[in-house]
Amino acid sequence: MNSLRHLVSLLSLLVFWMGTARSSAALTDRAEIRVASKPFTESYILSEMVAQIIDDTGEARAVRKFGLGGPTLVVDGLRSGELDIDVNYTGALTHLLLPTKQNPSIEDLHAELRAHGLLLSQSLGFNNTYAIAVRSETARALTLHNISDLRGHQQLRGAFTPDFLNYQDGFYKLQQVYGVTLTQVKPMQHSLAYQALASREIDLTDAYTTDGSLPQFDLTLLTDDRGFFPKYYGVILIRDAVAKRFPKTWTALRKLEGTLSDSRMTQINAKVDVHKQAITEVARQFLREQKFITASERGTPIPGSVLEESLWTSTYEHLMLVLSALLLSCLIGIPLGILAVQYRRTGQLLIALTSLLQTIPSLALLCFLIPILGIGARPTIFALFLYGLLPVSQSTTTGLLSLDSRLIETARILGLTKWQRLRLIELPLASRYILAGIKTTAVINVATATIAALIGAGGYGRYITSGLAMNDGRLILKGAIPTAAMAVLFHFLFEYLARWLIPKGLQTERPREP
Amino acid sequence: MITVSQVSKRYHDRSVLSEINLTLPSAATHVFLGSSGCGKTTLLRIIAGTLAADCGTVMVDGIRVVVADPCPLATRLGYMTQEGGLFPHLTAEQNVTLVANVRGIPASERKQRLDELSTLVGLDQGLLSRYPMQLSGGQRQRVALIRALFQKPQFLLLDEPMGALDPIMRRDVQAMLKQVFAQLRCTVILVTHDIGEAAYFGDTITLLHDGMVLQHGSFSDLVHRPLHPHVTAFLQAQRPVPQLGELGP
Repeated sequence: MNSLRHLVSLLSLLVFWMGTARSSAALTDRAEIRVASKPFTESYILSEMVAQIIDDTGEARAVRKFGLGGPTLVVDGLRSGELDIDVNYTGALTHLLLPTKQNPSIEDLHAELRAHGLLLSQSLGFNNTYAIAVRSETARALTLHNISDLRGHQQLRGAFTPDFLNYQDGFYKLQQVYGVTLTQVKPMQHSLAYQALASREIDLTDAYTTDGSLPQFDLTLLTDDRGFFPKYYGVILIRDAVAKRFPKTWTALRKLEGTLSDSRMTQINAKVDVHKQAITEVARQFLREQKFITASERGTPIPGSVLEESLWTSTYEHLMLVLSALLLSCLIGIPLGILAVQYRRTGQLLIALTSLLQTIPSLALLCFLIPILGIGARPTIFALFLYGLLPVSQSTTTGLLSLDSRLIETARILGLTKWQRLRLIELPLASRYILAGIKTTAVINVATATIAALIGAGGYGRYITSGLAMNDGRLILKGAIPTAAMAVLFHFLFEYLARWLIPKGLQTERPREP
Repeated sequence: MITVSQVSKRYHDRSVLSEINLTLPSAATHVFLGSSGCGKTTLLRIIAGTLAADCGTVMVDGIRVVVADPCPLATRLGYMTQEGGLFPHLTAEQNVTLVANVRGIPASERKQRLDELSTLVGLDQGLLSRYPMQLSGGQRQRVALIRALFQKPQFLLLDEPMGALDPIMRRDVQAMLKQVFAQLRCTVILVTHDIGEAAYFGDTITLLHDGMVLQHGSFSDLVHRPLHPHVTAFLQAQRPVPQLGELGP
């Protein structure tokens, strides 16, 4: 038990130390505007532009919550006040907020948003809607120009983003409208689909009309000859209260309206996607050209975007997530494992419940948690904690059940109470198992914590999410390598801890002959 | 004095003990003898109060034993199992003084008791800092005996304490135990399947078979006045050591 007490106090010390480090950093706060972005290039760039304009106007400081997963998450964040501003798309918002309305107008959308305390700018100019992309050679070979030309080519293999497959105005409606039927369709992430298209694994996918990486893959976009796709005009979405509180900022932001045509947006996206320029730089360059920001070359430095966040910050965030969740898993999981031994039925039921938790996909679990815990570190820690319950409680139970019943009987006859037996005999004897469970949890936490980036908790996941979104292998590795290294470090740390924490009498492998 | 009346115990639909009646006087060594599965360990646990009988009562010095946690007789019981039942994560000394520590017995008193008992059982005090794994079987039994005797118990319950020892060590430990029992004059119940051991220790011997007492009496009663054909069968079941001459060159 001593050993476990050591472990718990060590962990809580670490977490406490990290907690204080964080709060002292937050002391320098002034008014903040939290800018959201979703994990794809265009969203990063537009939100970075918004953030730079906010900083340049000077009424408030921009806090970048970039790379948040899924459209629901950002809009929910805005509605609940966790986020302040975002660049979104009319089509996506209509789909999300007015899903049942027939032919909704832009006025309907404005009205609906006002009801949620949100405000919409005019269109920024471009319409980034869906398109169907095929390899140019396929287009030539089968003389495909329009989507309707696909009729009769049901042998073509399609891969579409999950969003496109699920939206009402997505793939299945498209098939109805155009009378096209494809026999082989599967869901695939965007950047992977382009690669798959290039390597002839698939023949067509959904693309975005302003996608900067289209030119490098030699793709042909089929014309939407029946006007099927809704308009996806880029718009700034802001909380009404924030717009009122920072009027100069809102005015400055609205200068972006109508300045980004389709071709302009595609060009800007290509600078990042194809030419690998830094998002911060690309955004700043555009804003300077347009004279939307005044900061001179040598003026106040514009803080780097989230993607250029230092590795140390990410390491700190990642470690914080892993350790806090681990501590919680131990605090709840070990007693749960003990209970499961004392009260078999109830305990087994509880452990079965924790196994059930394991089957919930991490992103889905986060989505359930957001309405309760908001976005950022809290829901992530809670999700990791839930995932850690099973290995910790299960290993505690296994460890306690594996004990020699004669030893427990002896302890009982010697006169130790239930609690004394647990503390002095059973837990120390089971410590090897328990520690193994904690180690497993720690290593799994390191890997799973990469999803944190999707709900704005940072960590190494930010590089992986953005790298995947922008098809940037180097960025993915910048997240993946430290994650792997941290997992390995945790493994060795626990090997070392085991030597220190597991009672010596249990470690002597070979009995010494007297 | 320990009185067992009408004690029965079933596990699922198997009867482990049926209607056991025994009277075990104080300051004597009583042996529960029988082959494995005869119910002797179960009976010991019921007497110790860690297992409830289905029916019947156990009285220790006129007080009824009830099953409770912690063990109600603990302060008056010493207990020792096969291989000693030492806790592997504690050193010999920690094993011995565990309960005294929990009860807050002062260090000087513990030290004094440790010295007395080490001398009594013949254990080199230098071995006390070792973990059970680092001790020989005989040393472990001596440590376990010190632990059992530490609280000056009135009753000593020993469950096959020599089961795992090799013959030479077993002989040593048997001799040491006999000497200790004689010196302390406490009430001992020893569970064994070894007839020689039963004869060596037992003031009384209780021969159990299939959960029933076949005979309760002295060794000579069992040999000369068996109450049941099984008694003789059991006593003769162990192969005698052949004379050296019989083995041939």
